Amino acid sequence: MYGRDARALDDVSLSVAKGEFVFLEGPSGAGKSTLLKLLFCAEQPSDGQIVIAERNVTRVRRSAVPYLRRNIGVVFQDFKLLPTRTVFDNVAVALEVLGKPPRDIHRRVTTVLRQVGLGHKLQALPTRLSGGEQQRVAIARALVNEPAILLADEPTGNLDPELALTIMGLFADANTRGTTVLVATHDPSLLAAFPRRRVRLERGRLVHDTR
Amino acid sequence: MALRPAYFLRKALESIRRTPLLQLLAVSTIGVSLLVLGIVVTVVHQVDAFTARWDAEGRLVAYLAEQASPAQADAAREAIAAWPEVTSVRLRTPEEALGALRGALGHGDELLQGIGPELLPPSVEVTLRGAADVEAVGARLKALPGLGEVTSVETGADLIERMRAVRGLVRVGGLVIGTLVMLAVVFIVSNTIRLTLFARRDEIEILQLVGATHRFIRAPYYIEGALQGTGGGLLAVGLLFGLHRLALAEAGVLPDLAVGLDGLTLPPATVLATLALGAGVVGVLSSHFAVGRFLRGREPG
Repeated sequence: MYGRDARALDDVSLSVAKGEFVFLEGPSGAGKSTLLKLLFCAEQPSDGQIVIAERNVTRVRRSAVPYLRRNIGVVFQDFKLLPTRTVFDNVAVALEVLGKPPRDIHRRVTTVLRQVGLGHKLQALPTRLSGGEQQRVAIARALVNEPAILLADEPTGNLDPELALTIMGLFADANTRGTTVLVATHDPSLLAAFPRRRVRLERGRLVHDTR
Repeated sequence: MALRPAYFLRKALESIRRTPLLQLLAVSTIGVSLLVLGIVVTVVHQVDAFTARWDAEGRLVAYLAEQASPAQADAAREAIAAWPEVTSVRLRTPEEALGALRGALGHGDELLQGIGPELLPPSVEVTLRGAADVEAVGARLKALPGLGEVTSVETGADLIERMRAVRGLVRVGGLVIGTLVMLAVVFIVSNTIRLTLFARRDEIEILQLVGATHRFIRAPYYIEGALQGTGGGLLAVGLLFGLHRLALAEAGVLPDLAVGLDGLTLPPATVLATLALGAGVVGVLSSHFAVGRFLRGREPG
């Protein structure tokens, strides 16, 4: 599925229904991140197909990829925030690329930041926030556009267990509002605390699906 | 996506504000490079203007023998004025010739100390309707009865031929220098933009992640490239004006320069505006290449 010699993923067949919450579990190097990258078109499969909302995304032109990504929110372990921009600006960027008017942007950014518990830190710089707060900013950025799909790659990897549960709670909330959520993790405590469908990858192969 | 020029301009200005030294360096380097081009354009313009003036109206100067009497000269003037090719004829006495030379040398007229009018021959200055008749009228002047002995006829044909050759050389040289300068501008702008892009690679990754199109990512850099190019172009035009004034001021002081620089003019405003705006366009193209190369194969995650 990826590369000629070493295949990061091989013979993976997986179907996720709209509005579902799925954990991708497995050890480091199992292919969880690669699967997520394929979903938001940061990687191209060497073989096979990926269908999102009845559209084969492996066949779309590169110029159409940005439009696909607007329906997919992505959260990373390292947050990927701009340290010199305020919390507000970090979240607003997802709406600025859509050409939304400033008044709209202000209303939606403040709403989503309030939802993740950061309504009082709009003008703070990410460097002045705790790890948990930074991840909440990243989640707010992923959700502000109300995407159909939310992908998270080890989103609690840098957080202590208590904060990890809070962050997972935000994903669960988004899922309740109708967003399809895929979370890659190898943290068993999260899997125990949030009993959801679990898809296990090992050495690039799908070895177990609790569906 | 709604295009919002004000938003992109703000982003471009933010980027410029973040790297002021880099921008200053880029604009000044472009400015100096374009100044070289500006000087070449000015030289071409000057040579063009000179040859065009001689091409448009033929001029001849017939130098008379010193013993030619005023009556002889006057009779010759009337005869020449009747020729259909001639628009004006003027007799110049040795005294007038000396006065004109003093005027041309300006502050350097001390060079003429000890020189009297007897050293300068009287002359007839003839202006024709067109340069095509210069050779024919020159031959007739030499043979004109009553003019006395004509020692020489200066038609300026040799000078014009030489100037045309110089013009050709200057134009080829200008084209070569212009190409090199424009390549230098492309190199400077694209490298400045690349440095800016590298410094902002995290931001670009996030923009890609949230669904920004390449056009959206590129737009502020186009503006940045345009501002750098135009800024450099305007700086070059400003420096050219400064050099022009300096040259004219020097012309009044240095007799050696006086004859050549008195009529020195800058190219028309449209040419200078093209120089500045052309640099802006080259700046945009340079940005296009730099951002395209940077974004190629670069994906978030």
